[in-house]
Amino acid sequence: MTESEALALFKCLADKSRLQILKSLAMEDMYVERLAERLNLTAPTISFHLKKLTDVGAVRSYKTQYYTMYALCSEVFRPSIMELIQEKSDEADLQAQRDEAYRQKVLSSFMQYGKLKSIPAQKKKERIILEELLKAFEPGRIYTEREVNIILADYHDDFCTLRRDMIGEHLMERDKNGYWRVDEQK
Amino acid sequence: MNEFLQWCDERMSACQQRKQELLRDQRGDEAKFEQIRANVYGIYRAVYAALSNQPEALMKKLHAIPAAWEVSLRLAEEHGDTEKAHIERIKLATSAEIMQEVPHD
Repeated sequence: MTESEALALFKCLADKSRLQILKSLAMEDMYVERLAERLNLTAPTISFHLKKLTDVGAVRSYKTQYYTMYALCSEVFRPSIMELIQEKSDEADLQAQRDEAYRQKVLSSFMQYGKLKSIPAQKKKERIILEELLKAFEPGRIYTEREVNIILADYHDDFCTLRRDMIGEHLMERDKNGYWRVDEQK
Repeated sequence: MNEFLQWCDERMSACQQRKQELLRDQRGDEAKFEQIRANVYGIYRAVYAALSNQPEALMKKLHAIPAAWEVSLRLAEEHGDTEKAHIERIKLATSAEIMQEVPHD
């Protein structure tokens, strides 16, 4: 288990309702309504907690004829806390994790469900957004300006600014034939 | 004080009390849900207090409040965002409960 996985798991477990769910699942596999009845919580609240537990790998689900059953992933709980705290943290990995965390924070602040809420004013943040939008362009393909506009308009109405800034940031290049991703042309 | 405003105050106070109990019981997410409910009562209370002397504008505004939450719920469901969907459902359920209590005269 990596350090960030361990942190996510501990954070998830620091909630009495979720701990009670795990205790119930340690006895036997259960479905949402049964857990709701046992723990005196609503079914939507149980589903909410189960989603969090599933995300950190503490719980898995499987379908039976009538119900979706939930089971404890006991292997996640086998490493001792001593083993987890003795695991070395590689500084390069940590730096990369911090960069990625910052990138994700910017993406989640400015993008929702694949749409750009607004174009960041800060260059550094806009660069991150533009790099994300660049993924919509196939490597090695030359696009007409109209095609570039259509793709960028899917993300934000101000596609002209995005298109110009793609060039300004040297993420794309253009000539009389059209536009292409810089990284793939090198 | 107007009956509806008083009812909102009582609901907000009950939410705050449950929130504190849940926090003491180490149930942080459920405490957050109680705060969300309290905020919804607060929104309706504020709108009612501001527009209670303009019945038409008041009803129009009250009916408009959950529109953004409905959109947000639909988007969350479409994208499998369970946490967001759960929160939007709480807001909508609270909103429906409040609308039952709004005086219609």
